[in-house]
This record gives sequence, structure tokens and C-alpha cells, in this order.
Amino acid sequence: MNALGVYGQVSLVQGPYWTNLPLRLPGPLFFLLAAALIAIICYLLQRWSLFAGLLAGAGCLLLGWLSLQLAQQQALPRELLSLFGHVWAYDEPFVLFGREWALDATNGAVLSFMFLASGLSFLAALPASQGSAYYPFSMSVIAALVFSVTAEQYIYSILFLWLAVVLAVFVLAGGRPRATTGALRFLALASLGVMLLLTVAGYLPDIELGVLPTDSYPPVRILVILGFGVLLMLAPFHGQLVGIPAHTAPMVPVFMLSTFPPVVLYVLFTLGNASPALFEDQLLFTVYRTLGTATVAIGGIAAIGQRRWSYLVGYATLVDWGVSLIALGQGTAQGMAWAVQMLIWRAFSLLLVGTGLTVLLRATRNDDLGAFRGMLRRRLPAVLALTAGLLSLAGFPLTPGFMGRWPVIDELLRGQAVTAWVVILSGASVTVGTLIGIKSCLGPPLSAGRSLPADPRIARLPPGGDLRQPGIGHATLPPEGRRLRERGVPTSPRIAGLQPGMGAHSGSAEPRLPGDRFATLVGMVTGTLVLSLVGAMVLHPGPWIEMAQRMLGTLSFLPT
Amino acid sequence: MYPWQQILADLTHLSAWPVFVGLLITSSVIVVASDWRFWLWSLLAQYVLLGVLHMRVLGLELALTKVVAGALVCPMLYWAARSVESERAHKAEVERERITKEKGEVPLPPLPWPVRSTNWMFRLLTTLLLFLVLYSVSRSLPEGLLLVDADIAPVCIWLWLVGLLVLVLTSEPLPAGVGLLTLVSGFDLFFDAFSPGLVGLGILSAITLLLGLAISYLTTVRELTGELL
Repeated sequence: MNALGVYGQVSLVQGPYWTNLPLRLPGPLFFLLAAALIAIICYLLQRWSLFAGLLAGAGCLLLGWLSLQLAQQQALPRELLSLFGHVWAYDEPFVLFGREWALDATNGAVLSFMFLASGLSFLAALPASQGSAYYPFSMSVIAALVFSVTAEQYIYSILFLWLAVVLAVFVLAGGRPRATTGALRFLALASLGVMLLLTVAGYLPDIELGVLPTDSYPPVRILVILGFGVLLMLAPFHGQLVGIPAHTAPMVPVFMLSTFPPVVLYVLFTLGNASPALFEDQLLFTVYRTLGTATVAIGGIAAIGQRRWSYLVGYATLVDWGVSLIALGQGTAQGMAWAVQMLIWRAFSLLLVGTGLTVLLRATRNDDLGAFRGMLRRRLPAVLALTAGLLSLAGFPLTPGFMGRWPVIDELLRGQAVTAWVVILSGASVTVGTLIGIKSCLGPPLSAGRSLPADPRIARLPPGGDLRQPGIGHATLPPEGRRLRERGVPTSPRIAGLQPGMGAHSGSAEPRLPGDRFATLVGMVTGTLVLSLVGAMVLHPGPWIEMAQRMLGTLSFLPT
Repeated sequence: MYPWQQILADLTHLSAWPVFVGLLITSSVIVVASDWRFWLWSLLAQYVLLGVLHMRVLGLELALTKVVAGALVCPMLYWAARSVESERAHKAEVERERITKEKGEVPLPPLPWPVRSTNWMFRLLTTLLLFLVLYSVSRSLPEGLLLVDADIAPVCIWLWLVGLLVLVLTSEPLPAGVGLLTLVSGFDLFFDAFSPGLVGLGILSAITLLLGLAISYLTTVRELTGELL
């Protein structure tokens, strides 16, 4: 050993000593650091959303591929990754103050799904801006969720989940005034759910040792039911689920519903395995089955009457989500498997919907059904993607959603006919809602001189108006617009960065679409590639089903 | 030993009841007052008072971390609220001048911000009702289920109740955020009492700070548009 330390001698021969450090990164730490690094770079690149999106998408797909390798191997390899011969990621757990975070095949499956679905959503989001916070904060959320999934102790899974919930507020709000209500609702409800589940952690040691008095079990079970019920957005906590697709940018729901629900389900399964006594009375499953049916019914009743695409998507998602809760409520390993498979198909469905809606909203600037007139001719692939996605959420035959829903309906028809018919009729309602929407896309395109229908929610914005009018928010204007307005000069909304008749996804302060044709072109090409990839995955579902089964492989607390 | 060290050492043995009285006042101000400045001062006082109870559970150094995290949240919210309020005042002034010039009418001054949909008397009575609920609940709490000391449990429950009440009464990010922070601060004390540990403490402090940041962000973004007059 010389003055430089143990690696000093090597460095004299081969270069700076730090290049030869055999850095041993535990797997969870590697994924966390990689996601956090991408988040930082994306934040620095947020002015160039195209590059930020490409980086986030490619980074997530790479990390997803790495974790998929992990998930597909029965026995973990000693070395997971080697970069440039120096950085090594091992299957060793990451230990901090006695707490452990470790990767295994099961949580590797959850991570790979999360990374791959997020990566695809990032790439499909390229045609239009989803808000400057979308890429960096989504990557931060993923980084927190990595530690939530890989935590060995239940309490730290929940704590990191809470951290991810708080970070998700920035993704949900995304600089859109209207989206703040949904973001606040999500933050408050998810925080409540997390706090209930953290309280459960206080009783777990006694439960695992079997020393908790028998009469103390019911209150703890109620805490579990309520906590997971809030996080799984059961009725009456379903408002956040509708609010996410209804108020946020089209790709945000894809990200949110591909990352949080798998993690919550995973935590539920690990809790069940660790403390089966909590689930012995099957109360949780009964409650979830009943309230899941209510969720489906609410979604089905509301979907048929919607006149806005964003709300139609919201209620269609609610129906699909409710069916997976019913599957979960069956209380069997098979039911859990269906619920997890539906997560995968839902991610594909939402990806199709998000891609289609992103392109269509870019063209129409309004999400009223009537504003999409002529889009079938002008944006055929986008309309087809939107239709396919919505029909898939409705569980229409020959769509990805049907593959997840049919086994559940089949099972329900055997013993719970009423629930089965609620599911079928709600799916039909979403289908009818979708067909009404598609009908509005028929007909000739709106002529250039004809104004689009006014959006009542932003009726304060005068169409083609004058910025001196009181409805236009001063704070939303760029500096030139503000100066002109303060001088009392009539200013075109276009000058101030506003568009007349802007809709739910493009209100006055909404992030604007990239004007750069190159960025749009790249975005469209990437979106097409992503759609092709999704199509290929849907046609070859084997690996995904296998991954779902692997995720559920350790469910020992449920009857088969 | 310096006198302040002696005081701090004595505080670690303090019963929760004097702190509880202080928290009753601060949280009631958060519910009843209409001016956001009172909420933030009360929130700050609440974090300091809770710090005393944290000292009993965690020790002086770690409790100080909690107080610092809470104290850092208040300026975040202050600057967000201040910026939104001044922006609204400026916008209102410009619009009032314009309306006066164009229509010859002097419009009414804008509503105070943030708008609370209920009046102070209603909120005061609801707070009193909550206190009765707390009294009833704390008398019937099952001994076996309590994870914390008997004098700390009512403090936690009171903060949860007040936080929930504020969340229920408003959809504005700033008051709802202050309510959420009150709720979380009560849970924070509860959590530290049954699971004291460095990692948990660090993560919860980070969550508190991030909550402050997120609420400030929502407050600012919400006011990007909107009519004043």
C-alpha cells in the first residue's frame, strides 16, 4: 500500500485510481441511482423536452430490460451488471442502519413492468408536451418506488411509497391550474391511506409473533382494509382515479396507473405473506369485491353520458379498475393473477388512449366530443388508437382488455351472476360511450374559419379575445403580453401565447405543444414505433403473463 | 450545565398536557382564522410545541431535526402565498382601473384570498364539536391498542381530527395543505413514538419538506389564471 491507498499501485500503471475501483453497487441502489440520475439530467434538459423525453424513455426501457433479465431468471446471477468493467451491481442487499433493500425475481418483475410501461409512456408522450415536470419528476417518482418495492421491511415500503406520492404531485399538476384539484385530492387521499398502513406497522411485530390479543385483530384489519382501499382507489375514494385522466395531460394517467397500483398490490401481497392472520377472515376480500362492483357500476353509469373525451377515458378506466378489484376480491391466488394481468393490459390500453389523445388534442385544442369532427379523416391512426384503447378498457372482444376481463366474467357467471352482469353492462356502457365519441369524429373537418365549440370550463377566456378583458390571467401572460396589457393595448391571444377555444388539456396556462416541426416529427415517429411495439406485445403476451405469474409466485397466504 | 441545557433536559420529562393546551390553541387558529398569515404562524408554533414532545420520544438532537424540518416548511408556504397574493393584488388593481376607465363604475374590491367557503363561527363551533369527539374517544380508547403513551395519544388524535376537518372544509391548496401538514405532524409524533429510528425519522422529515414544497407549488400553480372581479 502506498500513499494513495490500496488502489494506488494500480493507478500508477493503468490510469487514475478511481477508474479501477471495483465499485460494488447493490442492485436496489443501482436502480435508484440510475433513475435519480436520469431525473436530474431530464430536469436540466426540460427546455428541450424532446431530448428529455428520449433520455427518460430510453433510460427506462434499458432499466426495464435489466430488471426483466433479473425477473426471468429463477436463480439470481452473482453479477447483475457490469459497466465498463468497473461498476458492478450485485444481488447483495443494500443495508442502511440495519434496514435492508434487496432485489429478487418477484420484485424484479414489478420493477421491470414499472420501468417498461413508463418508458413506453415517455416515448409515446413525445408528440406533445405533457408539462415541463413530466419527465424529471416521473423519474424521481420511479426512483422512490424502486426503494418501496425492494424494501425488505413493510414499514419502509410504505414510507418510500409516501415519498413517491408527494413527488407525483408535480407530475399531476404539471403547471396546469385545473390539474391542481386532482393533484391535491390525490396527495391528501394517498397520504391518508399511507398513514393508515403505517399505523398497521406498529402491530405487525406482535402479529408475527402471535402475541397480539385476539380482540385486537378486527381494528387492525379495518386499518388494512381502509388503507389499501384508499390507495387502490375503491369507491368512495374513486374520485382521484377519475380525476387523473380527466384533468391531467393524456400520458400522465399511463404513468400513474402503471407505477402506483403494481407497487400497492405488491405491498399488499407481501403483507399477506408476512402476516396471513390479517387476512384469515376474508373480510378484506369481501369488502373489495362489493365496493369493486360499486366502482364498476359508477363508472358504467357515468361513462355513457360523457361529452368530453377526458372524462370518458376517466370513467372507462374506472370500470376497468373496478373489475380488477372484483378479481382481487375473489380472495384466491387465481383472482390475484387476474388482477395483476389486468394491470398489464390496462397499461397497454391507456398507452393507446394516451397516444391517440395526445395527437388529437394537438390538432383540436379541445376535448369536447364535438370538437373532434373530421378527425377520422385527418388523423385516422390517432382515432384508431384512441378507439382501440377505449374499447380495450371496455373489455370489448378481441382487444387486450378482453383478455384480462373474460376469465373474471367467466368465473363470476358461475357463482355471482349479478356482479357478472354489472361488469358486462358497464363494459357495454363504455363501448356505447366510445361509439358516440367515434360518431362525433365522422363528417367533414371543421373549416379553418369556423371556430371550435367553446369550452364552458374556460369560458372566462374570450374567444379570439382581448387580453385587457378581466378573464385573462395576468400571471399566465409572457412578459410582452403583460406589458402590453398593462398599457391597455388590445393584444391577440396568439401573441400572448394563448389559443382561442383551448380545452381541457390546453387551457390558458397549459403547457403548449412544441412548435418545432422537427420535434413533432420525431415525436410522431416515436409514437408510431411505440404503438407497433405495444401491438407486438399484445400479440405475444407470453412473457408478460409469465412475469405476472412470477410476481405472484410467492402468494402462500391465499387458497388456490 | 448551562441553564438552557437544564431547561431542555427538564422539557424531556414534561407531561404532554401543557403542550396539548398549546396545540389546542394553534390548531384552532388554523381552523378558525381567515388570514393565511395566522395559519402559518400557528403552524410554526405547532411544530415547536410538537418538538417538545418529540424530545421526550427521540431525544434532543433528533427532535431538533423535526423542528427544523417543520420550521423550513413555513417559509416555503409563506413565500408562495405572498407571491400569489401580491400578484393577485396587482392584477386586481390593473383590472379595476380598466373597468373604471371603460365603464365609469368603480368595481367592488376582490374577495380576500384564499376564499374559505364557511364563516368563522361555523368553523369555531365545529372545532368545539371536535373537542367533544376527542374527549369521548380518549375516554374509550382500548388500552391494548394504544401504541403510544396515554398522554400523547390525545395529542395525535386531536391533530388528525383538525387536519381532517380543514381538508374537508376547503379545496384550496394553501388551507388544505396547512390542514394536511397538521394531520401529518400528528401522525409524525405517533409514528416516532411507536417506531423510533434514524431511517424512519429521516424519511418522514424528507416527506414533510417535500409536502411543503408540493403545497407551495400547487398554491402557485392554482392561481396562474382566474377572475378576480
